[in-house]
Amino acid sequence: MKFTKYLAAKMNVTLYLALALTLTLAAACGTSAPADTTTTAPAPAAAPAAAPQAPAASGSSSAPAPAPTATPAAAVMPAEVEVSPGMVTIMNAVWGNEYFDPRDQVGEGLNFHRALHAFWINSNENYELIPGVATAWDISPDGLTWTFNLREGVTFHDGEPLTAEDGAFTFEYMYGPEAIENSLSPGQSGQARLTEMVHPAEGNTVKITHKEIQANFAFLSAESAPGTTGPIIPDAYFQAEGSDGYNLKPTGAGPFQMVEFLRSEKMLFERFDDFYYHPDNGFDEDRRAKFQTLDMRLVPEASTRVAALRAGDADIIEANVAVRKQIEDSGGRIIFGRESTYVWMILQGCQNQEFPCHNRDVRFALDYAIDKEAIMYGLYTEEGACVCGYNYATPSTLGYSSDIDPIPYNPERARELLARAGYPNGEGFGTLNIYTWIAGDLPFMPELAQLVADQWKKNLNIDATVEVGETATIRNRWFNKELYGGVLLRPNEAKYDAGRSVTVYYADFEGRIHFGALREDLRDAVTKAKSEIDPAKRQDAYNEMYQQLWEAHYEPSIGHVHLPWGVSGRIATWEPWPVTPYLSSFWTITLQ
Amino acid sequence: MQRYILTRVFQGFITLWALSFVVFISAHLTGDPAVILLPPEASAPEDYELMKRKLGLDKSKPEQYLIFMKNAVRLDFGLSTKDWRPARDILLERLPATIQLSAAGMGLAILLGIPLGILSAVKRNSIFDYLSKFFAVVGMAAPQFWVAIMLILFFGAYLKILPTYGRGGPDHFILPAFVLSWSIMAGMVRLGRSSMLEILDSEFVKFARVKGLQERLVLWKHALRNALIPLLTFSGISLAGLLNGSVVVEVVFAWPGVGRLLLEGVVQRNFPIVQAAVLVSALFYIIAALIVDILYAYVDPRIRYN
Repeated sequence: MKFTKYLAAKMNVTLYLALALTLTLAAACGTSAPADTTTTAPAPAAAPAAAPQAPAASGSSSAPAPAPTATPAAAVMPAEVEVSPGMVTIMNAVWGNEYFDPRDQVGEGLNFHRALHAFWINSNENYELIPGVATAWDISPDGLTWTFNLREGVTFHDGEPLTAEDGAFTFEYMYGPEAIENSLSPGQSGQARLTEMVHPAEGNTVKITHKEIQANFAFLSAESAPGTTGPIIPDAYFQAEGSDGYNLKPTGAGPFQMVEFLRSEKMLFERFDDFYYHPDNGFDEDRRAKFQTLDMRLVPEASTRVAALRAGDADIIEANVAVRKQIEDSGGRIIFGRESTYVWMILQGCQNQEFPCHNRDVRFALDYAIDKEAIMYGLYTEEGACVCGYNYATPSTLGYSSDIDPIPYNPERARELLARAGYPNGEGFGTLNIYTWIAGDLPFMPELAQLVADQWKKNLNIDATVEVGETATIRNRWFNKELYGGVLLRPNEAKYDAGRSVTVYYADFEGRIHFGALREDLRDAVTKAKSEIDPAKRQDAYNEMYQQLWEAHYEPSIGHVHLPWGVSGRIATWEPWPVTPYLSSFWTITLQ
Repeated sequence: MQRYILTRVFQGFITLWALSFVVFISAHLTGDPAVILLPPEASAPEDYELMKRKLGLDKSKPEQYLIFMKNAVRLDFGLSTKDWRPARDILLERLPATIQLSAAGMGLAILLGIPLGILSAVKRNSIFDYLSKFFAVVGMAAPQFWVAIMLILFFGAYLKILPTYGRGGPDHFILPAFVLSWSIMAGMVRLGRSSMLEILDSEFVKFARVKGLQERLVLWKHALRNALIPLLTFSGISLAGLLNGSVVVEVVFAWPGVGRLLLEGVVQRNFPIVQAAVLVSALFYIIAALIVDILYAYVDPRIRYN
């Protein structure tokens, strides 16, 4: 005690005071962000109300046939809706490269692009393509030229009107010759290579001509596309700011305007009152936000997101089924974004005769031997998964029909087929390696792989080993064809129109990856389906293609999962779209 | 002294050069980033060649290293492959967040760790001593990740008195700074205690007491000053470590600092970011070690660098 008093009274407390001051200063500085990463978006002009439009033609000439859906239709909103003054805080695990420039962003950017941007074409909960900024769109008889008619009365957040010149500039910027070399998105560069020319705007019309048929271009230009290919950017503002400036101070014509951006931390948006999509403009639905402020946060750690939701610091978080109880105990709930991710099993190198999977019976035997329902529902719950669809062709996607669903568990049949292929009771089969990784977007991949391996051992007496690697390493080995003879098991984002993907997998013989075992018939099937430009026939063409791929069976199908979003008790409604791995349908979010 | 400093600076450059070589080689051994950056859909050979050109991987490895070194001396570490912005700029953007958190963590560690250690020695074998030791052992043994999550759940989700994540006002610093500093604090308690005990048992302290000096003068003027010398080294190196960012704390608390950046860089095979972050980290360590050595000469009159 004496010493304590002594210290307190006489010790050189200056040192400690200085340290305390340091601590306080550091803490006080916490609110200030790095100057060059903070931005305030251009001040919104008092934009005039959008000019009334004639009701959009019900179902554009290019809209594909409706696909089945697992979600209820959204209710039609009245012309005047109540806007809550409150704020909704949404936490994501990834934001991609945090670019608002759509040419340079990847899929993860859709978490915020759908808030900022208006899209050429919109989508509804049935995955029909419906008018957006474009009132109509059409493809030329030769399938090479797409024509978009733009709506009048749409304004950007800075009050400038969205014109056909903006549309033509966007296409030129996204798909013009410069994009091939300069786009930071490899997928975008590839799409630019397929573009012949972007025509100058004529009146309200914008045209783009491709070098080969791009029947899925309307889908790529839609809000429901898996990449950021659909936004329209303002010509004059973008050219004045440049891509770098635009990425710090973006402006769009979407339902929210940006007010603050701190890289890797925070995006703060305010409701854009003049967003064009509402009944006064002829729409049967009001897609303006029903709340005032959107606060988006990047929180990579799942446990932290859950704790934030429980603490009331977040309203919507990326979650997983394992934390369901924690969320429900705190008054929240799980809302599933249906058909968001499929489990993708790819038999590698089957074009080589040296591998057992060259034999089709082996491929089917491996599939019959997996009890998919036990695995998928055991790991992800019945509500959180579905053993249906053929990989990318899930029930809400183009080309799906129930006859391409996964084959049922039948170990007897599996053994018969394996014996017929020359491997009775697994003799002479050798060891089968399953490669997988711990995926951020789908938990339990190593467990899933091990369960598959166990069932192959139990039902077919095949020794299967599971190699859990780091994502980039496995991908590297996959692309370098080092996994031949094995099985790659990975999650992948679902997409409504998988035409572009299957082209690479089955129709690009010169490509770095191909699953079609270099079979001409599969390439022809894919090419034919992708070239179908009649919207009414696309569903059947895709279905036919998937049937053939299903018959070939290079990718045994296990099923898909629904993306669980943790939602706090403050949120009254939210209806995320199916087949949409990122944030969608902001207008359906309402507060209690 | 001047010669000593110059020698150490020279040694620092040699260390940095050696480290740059190791980092360059090890980063490139982890795989081809061009392959990783391409999605399956971009599988055309021209996509791959284009990506290699963009990344500068179309040149030979020695050529790549020479370009890297030539640019690195100008603090140009190349473009981040995630967003194609200069790695240096990104590092500088993230540094303030790490410095703020490090300052808070270090301040907390010194404010609590040193007094606890000294008091623990002075009140040896008391309940206070036992509690201090327990606090130190738990701080060293408990995994940061677990501690962070538990504290977030307790103070954030259960008591709802502290924020659960991210930067903001002063209250946002409390949990991450404590988690970050607990192990350092624990080290200070242990080191301060043992150092103080050793000094209190030394001949010159006994002599001072025998001489009839007041106990407070013995403790403050003679014992404490000497006991602080090893703590100085520990603090210096710890501060350098903190400035390099804590991967765990920054990820768990969604703190946009250098540690989180480094982790993201490793996962994404973002070589420029990894190389920049590692070299800057090494630079911090070298500078911190040099400053500590120089301070030694002032704190401990026995040390002479001539």
